[in-house]
Formats: sequence, C-alpha cells, structure tokens
Amino acid sequence: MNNDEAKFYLCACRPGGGDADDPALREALDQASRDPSLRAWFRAESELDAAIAGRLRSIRAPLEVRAAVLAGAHASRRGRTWRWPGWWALAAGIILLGVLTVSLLPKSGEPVAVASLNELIRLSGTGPHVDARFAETAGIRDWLRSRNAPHEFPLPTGLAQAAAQGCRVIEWEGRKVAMLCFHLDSGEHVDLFVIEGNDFPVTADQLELANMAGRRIVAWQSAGTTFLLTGETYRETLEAIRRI
Amino acid sequence: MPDASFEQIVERWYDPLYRFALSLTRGDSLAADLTQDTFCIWAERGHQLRDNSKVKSWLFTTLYREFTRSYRQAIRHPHYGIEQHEHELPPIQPAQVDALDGQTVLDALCRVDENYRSALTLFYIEEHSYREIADLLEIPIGTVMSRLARGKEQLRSLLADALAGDKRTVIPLGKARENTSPTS
Repeated sequence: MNNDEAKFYLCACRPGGGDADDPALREALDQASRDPSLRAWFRAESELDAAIAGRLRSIRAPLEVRAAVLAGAHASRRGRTWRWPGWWALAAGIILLGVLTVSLLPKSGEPVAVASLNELIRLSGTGPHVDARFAETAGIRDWLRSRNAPHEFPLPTGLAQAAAQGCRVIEWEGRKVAMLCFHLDSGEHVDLFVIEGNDFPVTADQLELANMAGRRIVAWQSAGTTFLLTGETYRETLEAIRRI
Repeated sequence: MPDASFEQIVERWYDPLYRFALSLTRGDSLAADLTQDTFCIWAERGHQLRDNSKVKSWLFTTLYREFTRSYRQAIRHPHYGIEQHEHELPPIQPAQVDALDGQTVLDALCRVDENYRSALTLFYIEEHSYREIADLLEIPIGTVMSRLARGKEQLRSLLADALAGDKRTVIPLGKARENTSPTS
C-alpha cells in the first residue's frame, strides 16, 4: 500500500480514534505510525475533522422541535393504544391456530419441533449477522451454492424488489439453513430463512407463528422447501411480502 | 415504551437527527418535519426494537428513508458546479474552522455534492463509522470511502472560500459539465 492508498483509507477514520481496531483500516493506520510524513498528514486531517465535527455539533435544534416531537409522539401512541385490542386478538388467534395445527394434525417423516424454531432464531442472533455481504441476490445464490446450502428457491417478489444486504449459513437440526437479509423500502430489516425439507407440521402451504423471540414470523412451504420470514415489523408487512 | 424512556431517546437524539435532516433538506421547517416524522415512527414502532444498541442506527436509517421516500421529490435543490481549482488550495487549520460559526460550516456542507453529502454528514454527526454509513445508506463500503474522500475535498474547498470571505462562484451544473471533467 503506498501513501496515496493509505490516505484513501485514513479518510474514513473517525477523528476520535474509534476505528483503531478496524481490520480494514489497520494496515493504513500501521503505515501512518511508521511513516513520519503520513503520520503528520493524518494528524492534521484528524484535527481538522474534529474541528468540523465540533462546529456542526454546535448547531442545536430549535426548542419548539423538541416540544412538537414529544406532542406528536403522544398522539401517535394514543392511536396505537386504541388499536392494541385488535392486535392482541389477532395474535391470540394465530397462536391458537398454531397450537391446534401442531397438536392435531398427522406428521410425516421426522418432524421438526416447532419449539426448535426458537433455537434457529436464537442462532441467527449470535455472531456477525451475515457471513457475506452482497447487494445482489445473484451473488448470494452463488455464495450459498459454494457452501452446499439451499440456493435454488423462488424468492418472494416482495423481496426481489428489496435491497439485499448479505447472507449466512446456519447449522440447525443437522441441516444447513440459508439466511438472507434485506432492507425494505420502509426502512425495516427482514431475514429470510430457507430450509430444505418440508417436515414441518402444516395444514396446507402455510404455518404462521406469532411474536417468537421478539420477532414477527411468517412461515410457508413450497416445492419441498420451508421458508421463514422474520423481522421486527408488522406481521402484515411480512404477509404482504409473502403474498406478492 | 414508558414516557420517560421515550423522552430520554428524544433528548439524546433529536439534535443529531435534526442536524442530519438539515443537511439533507437544507431548510429549517423541512428538517423539523423530518425529525418529527422520525420520532413519530419511533413512537409507533420503536417498541419492536429489542436491541437498545441499535436505536441510533434505527433512527438515522428511518430518517434517511423518510427523506428519500417523502421529501426528496419535494425539494428542488439548486445544482452547483464546483469550480476546479487549478492550484492546490492552502491547507485549512483547525483553529480557522473553530473561528467559524456552526451555520457557516453547515452552509458549506450543504453545498457539497449530494452524492457525497449524506455520507459526509453522518461521518461528522455523531461520528458514524464507515461501516455504519454503508449500512445506513445501503451502499458498498468502498463507495463510502470514496465519497468521504471526495466529499472532504469539496467541503474543504468550500470552507477555504468561506474563510477567504468570498463566495464560491456558482455556475449551473450543465455549464459546469461542459467546462470541466466529471468529479466522480
């Protein structure tokens, strides 16, 4: 890495030293510590960045903005409270449907316990959220294929329009599960789990679970594959993605 | 979410969010609306966020998405062509920037090319890391680095003009493109 390349990386370093442990910047930072001219340049850059940041932080929002924010939020919460009884009834209905489905219907093969889905969701919350970052689903499929994980599956059209973020492979119940991450236009983040096999106890092509591990979850099966779509968002949002 | 908790979040984040909104909209009233919209969305959906460490990124992401969804169309930004300097600009000293008021620095930031401005603002406001900026703006990390490098160049050029007490000559973008090579 020459000094010009190092400067390119060092431009992304925050003046407070918060990036000292960033592996992608490590080489440039090491070079700056060895090269006197680069070190002087970086020190001047950091000091100037700190000065600019300090001037920008001196700008304060008008007091009326804060008052309006609090008043507006109270109004929003009142509206949400009014809707809660319906949400609870809906959630209770879904849970009841799930319980009846699990307990009454015949199962085939080696059924995966619905409770173990909790484990899958828990596993997805450990370690880095994604193993590989891709902005295109084609890249995700190639990466999954190289790891013998599910990669040939129909993507809901609602996700085909969303911004892909990356993916990871999770070992769960002796099988590889592909997890794909997306940002929706609404700003919400959703994860799609793709599990080869359909040994879930389902009535038709759909199994719905509510509010598992703090997330809304919609599940369905298609062509021998089970899909779980999860996110900290409204269940209707997930349903809309699945239906599109 | 209890009121006190909500108010704490407002107290902590409404200034930085407002600054970010101001750099995007370049207008006080639109920035106020955008900030308020963001907190209204938080009031409605924030309880779904289980990880408190993600509040910052959630709020900034939501504000940016609200801007791109609802506000960008309504804003008619004047397009500035930045004159190319034939000679290297004199370096700016931190003490010189300290002598400027915040509004002057913000004005300069708002004149930075829109492509670079969002990343640059997030970098300076609350010191978002380049990785956080990439997540928030949904662009590759290399693009963030490139935008930061180029954006800083533009900002310093504009600050140098502010320090020199003159206004940068503004020429229509179309004419600028005729006369200069693209900067990105």
